[in-house]
Amino acid sequence: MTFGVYVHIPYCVKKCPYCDFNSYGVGRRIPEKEYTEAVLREIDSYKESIEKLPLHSIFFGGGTPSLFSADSIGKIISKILETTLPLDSIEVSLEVNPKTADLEKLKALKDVGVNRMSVGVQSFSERKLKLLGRINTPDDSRRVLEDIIKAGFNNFNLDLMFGVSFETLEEWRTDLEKALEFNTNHISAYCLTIEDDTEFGALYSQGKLPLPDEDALIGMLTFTGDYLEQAGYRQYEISNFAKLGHECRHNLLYWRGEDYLGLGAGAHSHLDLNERSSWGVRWANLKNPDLYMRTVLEGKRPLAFTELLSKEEALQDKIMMGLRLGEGINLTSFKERFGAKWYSDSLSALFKQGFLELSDNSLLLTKKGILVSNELIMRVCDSLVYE
Amino acid sequence: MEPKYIRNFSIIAHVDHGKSTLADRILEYTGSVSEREMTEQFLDQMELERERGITIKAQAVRINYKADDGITYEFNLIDTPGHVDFSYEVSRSLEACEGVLLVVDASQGVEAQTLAHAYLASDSGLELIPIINKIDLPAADPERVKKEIEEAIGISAEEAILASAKEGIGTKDILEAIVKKIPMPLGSGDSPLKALIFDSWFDSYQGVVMLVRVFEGRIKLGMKIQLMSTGKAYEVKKLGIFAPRALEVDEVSAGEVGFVTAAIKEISEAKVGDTITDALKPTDAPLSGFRLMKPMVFSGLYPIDPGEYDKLRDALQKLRLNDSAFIYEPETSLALGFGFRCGFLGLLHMEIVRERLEREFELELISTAPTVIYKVTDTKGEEIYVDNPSKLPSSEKIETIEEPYVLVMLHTPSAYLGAIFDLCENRRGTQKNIKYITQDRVIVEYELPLSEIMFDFFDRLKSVSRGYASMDYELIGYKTSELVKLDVLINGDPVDALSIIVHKEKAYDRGKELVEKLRKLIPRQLFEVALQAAIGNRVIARETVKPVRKDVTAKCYGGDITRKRKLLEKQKEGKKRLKQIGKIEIPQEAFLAVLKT
Repeated sequence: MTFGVYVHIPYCVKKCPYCDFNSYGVGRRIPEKEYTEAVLREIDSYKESIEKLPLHSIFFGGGTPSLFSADSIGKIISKILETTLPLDSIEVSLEVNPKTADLEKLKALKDVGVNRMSVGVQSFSERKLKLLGRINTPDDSRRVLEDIIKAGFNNFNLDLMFGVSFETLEEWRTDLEKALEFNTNHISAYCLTIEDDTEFGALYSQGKLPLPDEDALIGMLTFTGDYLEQAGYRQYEISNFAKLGHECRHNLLYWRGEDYLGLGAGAHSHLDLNERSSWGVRWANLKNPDLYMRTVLEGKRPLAFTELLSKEEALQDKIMMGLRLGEGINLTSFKERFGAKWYSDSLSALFKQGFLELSDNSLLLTKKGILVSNELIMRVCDSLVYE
Repeated sequence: MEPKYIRNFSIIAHVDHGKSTLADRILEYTGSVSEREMTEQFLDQMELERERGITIKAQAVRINYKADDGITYEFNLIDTPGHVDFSYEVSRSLEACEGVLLVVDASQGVEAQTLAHAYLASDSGLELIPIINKIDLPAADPERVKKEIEEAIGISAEEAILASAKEGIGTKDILEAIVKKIPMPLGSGDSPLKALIFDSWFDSYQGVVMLVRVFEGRIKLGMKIQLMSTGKAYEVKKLGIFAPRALEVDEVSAGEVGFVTAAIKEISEAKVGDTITDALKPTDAPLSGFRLMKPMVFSGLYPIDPGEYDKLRDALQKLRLNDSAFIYEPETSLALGFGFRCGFLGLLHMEIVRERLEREFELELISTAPTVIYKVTDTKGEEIYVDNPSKLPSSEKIETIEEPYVLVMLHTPSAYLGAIFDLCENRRGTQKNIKYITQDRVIVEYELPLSEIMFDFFDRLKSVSRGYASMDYELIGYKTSELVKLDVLINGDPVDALSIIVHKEKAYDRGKELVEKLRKLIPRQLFEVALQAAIGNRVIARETVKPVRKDVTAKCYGGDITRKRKLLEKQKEGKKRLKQIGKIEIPQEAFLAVLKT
């Protein structure tokens, strides 16, 4: 079994009003040195457990990892590589905010081993970017994408978002069209989700944040799938589209329920280092960056919580994530691992109505099913019988 | 104790007028219960009763009181249930007394229910002692209330006792009045035994416990007794009084009140109202007025989880041990599966049973809309009783349908008369009588179909009269009505548990209202749900529940799965109280929506 390493960089210039990730708007006052030091120390602390594990990907997420210098990123990459058993060609991704990287920095990042860029474009419309409270302009995005190509990256993703106030299908279509001009091999297209503890959440609950109605959102969701499919992308996950062979290997780890080690503040891991549970172990680091750094530098584990999964939880996780994937859940391996199967009667109506389908011995959501995936995931979980 | 030192009485009061508090003060004042032992409202035993603040089971307490004349008297305070559903139990409790304390709230005045019970007491020849309670409250108006008592009940209120049970004002005056005004019991200890069962309950150790009032002769430990309605004989195993804690005695004689156990296994064998006599030397005639209590309201009870059917059956069996007025039998619904058709005295009784099932037996239940029992004569001239709308024969096989009618006595300030007329006319009522007690207090009598007052009539009455009107009712028999069965179809299939029987003229409006309400109550599903109301084959109204079309989480970030799992669990929890009917999930409220208008 191979594994991946996730590195969380929790700093942003400014926190976006819709964002509920573990990130902090700190302007330019970033404790880059200490944080890098802490991450390096954290890697060391896992040395014995991971030095014989084959590594297949590294992912720098945030926050805004591109706020860090190529030097710091390089140190972390080297440390990971020397502490594990890297496979021949590993994927090393880094999230970039267009406002925070120039050609020189991109080149430097490439030199230290980053080989995949994920660009937080969100939109090419000035109106949308303002509404979303982004620091980047459409021009910033165009420039950074061109620089990424110039710097020699042939693997990069564009993050796009739809469903903002008063957005029409036309506006969204324009975003997608512009994205395709850069001949990218990967697009993530997210529907804006209002989370409780955010600025948008507060506005929304006061009725001050108008959003497109259900029909309009369904129109955009459906259009996204159809349009990108015609352009040669596969919807390999609910919100992710890639040309064949360019799926993000690291993200697939999450969705397939495979192993990953999370480093940095608030990072989550799914890895059973000491074989404590036959159904897997999940844990998360302390969210607060200062506390995280202090704890690690004191030589302690920065743990927020650990959970040994029960069979039911492992099963639910598998269904929850697996059904998000275009490849679905392989029934043979599912049955081998869990000894459970679906009570076909309770699902037969969902097959008949075209929400679910079986393909290549895998259970998957249809296009119609994707729209109501939460509901379906719940029903599939409920219809399991054990043998 | 010699009969001339015995006083048997009970307390009549409207709900919330302070009956239980007064009983507590009497117990305290006479030293029957020490203050330390005094939990508030000592006589209300069951947890449920305490929560609802009503007394369901009658109780009898013996109290010794040393009066001003220096003599110690034996008081038997017989507590009565306080709600219209239990008026027969009230009448039996009254039968065991020679007098009553009539408690009237000093600001609210006489209410219909008090009036009905006061009439009952006065018809039985009982002495009434009026007590005006809560005189400490700012809104108290004892003079007005005295006038009401005189005009409405026709007794003198000149000597009415002004009291505040809460503050302990007037307690001594009440105790002295009991001694002086309530007659001593008649009857001789030497005649053949004649005793009235005025309450009974099941105890898992003793079997059935009966509360009795001995009128003639005496009950002794070990004697053979006979219950006159069944002719069955038993041996007295245990005899006692409540003082207020159970105290065993060897004998209870004419004029006294006590409890008896006789290894009786089923509550239905020891019915309230029955007469106990000496099996060897029986009395010639039973006490009058025995009546079997018949359920008036029926409803289906189904477990939400079909696997809990056996658990429900066992629970019903246990409840029935203690409640002879409640009946049940298995029934099957196409929509709800296996369950039970249950009969209750009234809606409050139904609610209490349901709550006990859910609380004490941890069951999750769906109850169908309560219905009355209809008398159907078919074209062959045969009479059948229908307690479940889905069992009504098809219209071409019906000659006539009759439904139970009640005479409702409404007591209201005259200001709300108009609104009350409207309410009653709306419910197919016929005015029978109207009487002004004072310039602004009125008694109106209406004949109404029981089905029309069953569900929300009382609530509506309270709302149109701002809480001032009160009511009581009695069953007066069956009358022919133009009734039809209204069916509800979900995606084309009739759902038997949602059928109701309604008056022909109201059917169209009810059907429309009903599907509208169901549309709001049934959660959106993954597909469109068509709702129709139909009479026979004719669809009279339709509505659509639009499907859920979008429920998708855009992003699962950075491997943080725990949060997503919590969301999923929350979503699952929301589905728990839904009953699966075919492919559709229906909440409990939908089954009751059929009744609310």
